Amino acid sequence: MAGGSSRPNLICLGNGLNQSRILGFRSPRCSPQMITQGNTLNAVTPGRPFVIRDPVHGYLVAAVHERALVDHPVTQRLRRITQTGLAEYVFPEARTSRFVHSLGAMHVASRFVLASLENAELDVALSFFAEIENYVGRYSGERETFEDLLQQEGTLSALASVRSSFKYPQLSEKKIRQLMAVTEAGLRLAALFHDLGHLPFSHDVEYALQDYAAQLKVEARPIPNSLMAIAGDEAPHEEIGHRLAELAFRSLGTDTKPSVKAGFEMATKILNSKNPSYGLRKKPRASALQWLHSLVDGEIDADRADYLLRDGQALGLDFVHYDLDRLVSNLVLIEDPELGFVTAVKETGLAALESYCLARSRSSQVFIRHHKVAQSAAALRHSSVRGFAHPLAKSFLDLLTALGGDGENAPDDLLKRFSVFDEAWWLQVLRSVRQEKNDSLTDACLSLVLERARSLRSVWKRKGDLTPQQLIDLNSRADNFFSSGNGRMILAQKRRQLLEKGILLNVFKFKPYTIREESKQSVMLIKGKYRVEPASMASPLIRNVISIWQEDIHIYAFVERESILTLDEVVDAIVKD
Amino acid sequence: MFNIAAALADLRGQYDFDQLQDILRQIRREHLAEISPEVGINELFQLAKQRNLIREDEAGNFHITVDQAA
Repeated sequence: MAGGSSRPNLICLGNGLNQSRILGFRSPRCSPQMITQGNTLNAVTPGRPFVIRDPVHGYLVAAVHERALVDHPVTQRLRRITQTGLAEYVFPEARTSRFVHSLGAMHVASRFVLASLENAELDVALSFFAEIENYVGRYSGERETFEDLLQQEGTLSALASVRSSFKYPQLSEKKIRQLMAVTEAGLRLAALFHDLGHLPFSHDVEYALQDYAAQLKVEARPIPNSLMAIAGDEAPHEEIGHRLAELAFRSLGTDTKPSVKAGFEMATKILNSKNPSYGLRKKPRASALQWLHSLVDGEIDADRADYLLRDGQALGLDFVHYDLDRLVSNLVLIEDPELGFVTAVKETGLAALESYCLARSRSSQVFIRHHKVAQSAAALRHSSVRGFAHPLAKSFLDLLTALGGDGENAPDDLLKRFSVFDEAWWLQVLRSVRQEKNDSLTDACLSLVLERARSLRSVWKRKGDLTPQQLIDLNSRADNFFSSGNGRMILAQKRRQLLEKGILLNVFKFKPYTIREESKQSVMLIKGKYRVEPASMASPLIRNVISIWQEDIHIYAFVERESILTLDEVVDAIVKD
Repeated sequence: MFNIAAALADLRGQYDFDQLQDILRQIRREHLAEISPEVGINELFQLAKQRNLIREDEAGNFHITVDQAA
């Protein structure tokens, strides 16, 4: 047992001292071993798991080897990356960080994988562990050391595997428990690092990076291949995050125990494995690794399971709550001849899955597609394209170029350099852009982003502002942008055309859940006593979430507050070719 | 304007799904100026399938079947 003590260290998120008093922690836990970091107290004693008080999940426990990664500057940077961008301009308490969300996702990932395997049929679980054994094959002589991961620290343990309770005796054997532990250890780290590469303010600045790269291409200006490898990717934050994660594991992995190294390798494999794409293919046949990937990035995943509750709480949206405990306790891994390994929900958890789907759909409707949130996002994206062209952004682009290349760079150097690119830095870049001569639309966007000035106008705010035909035409256009023929190709062109008229566009491609192309039913599955069926067949409520979504607005437009453009003119400019 | 048939024309052959995704990812990078960031490789995949430029066989492999004249 590392550290030789059953007493955990404690990190109190937020105002640690006050919270620790409120929660009844005795003073030895919060002093004198504590050091102050901002408004957070960190325990300084090494070699013990530590406990984090989280308003969403209660207590989160991080293992000793995880702590080194949590404490790493590249992870600590996530404290300064907000989960919901500029949504705080509408919902003032929407200030949750990607740091605490990542810890929450790590916690939920443990629960998901353990419950799914505990509820699995024996043959499915054995088939899964056989694949896992292959992945950790090179540790076959050292597997005994995986036992380290199962050591319990007093009443607490970071890994839920310590408390695993399989109904089949074959799954309680030592070898399976060890494989379970290394699987969970890897999945937890993959969840911890799933957002590591997010740019400041997340998606909108990421879109701006892609817009900037596209602009360089249009202007036939040189752009290094290694920068394009990241900026041109579908999800640059994933590409960046995976590279950072590998660097972090490499930088810490030199003198770690084999069990921890195996956990690092498993995490890397999970992060780098491709999404199973259950909805796109007739026979995806997801592997064990791809299934684990889907627990971090999938339909029912630890990422979404955490942020729905966390954001809902921060935004004050009571109606996005769902029963996480019931959902978790009904997760089950199944092996489908066509889909391969896939998560299903036992029928006894159907109500929890329904509320999870509703929470997701309502969260998008009320929060992400709020016209002012969408407006702030469009302003941030537009002004950030200018930000990337500013000399202050060069150091960041150089770093992305280094990350995207194959050259050997010192991991610590790259990680340290990346750690400073946070939201405070990006706001400073935008302030510098503001000192320059800009067009009036860019100035209006900067005023909104930097001061929340009322410098832009949403041309329509809600459905009632549009005629029924206009709503149909706009939504048809939005659908066209993503799901039919040339529509996908004209969005970039349309965006540029509208910009010339002084119109900013925000188009949403959110869908309440993924639908399999072949069956037109949900990828999410319900496992009943006699059959497995799509959740959209088992539940009228889930089926009809699609109808609710289809009737919402999927496209918004914004102009300068003083613009003389009318709603009719803007709608026409969007819907007409 | 970006033409997916032309982009796939020189890539006829059989691929597994991961290889196909890598091909679409590369096409997306090369045509970044014409494809909006919101349009990902899943959308490109669906577009190519709708236009019968790729088909999935019973074994789960994919065949790019673009006419050279595209």
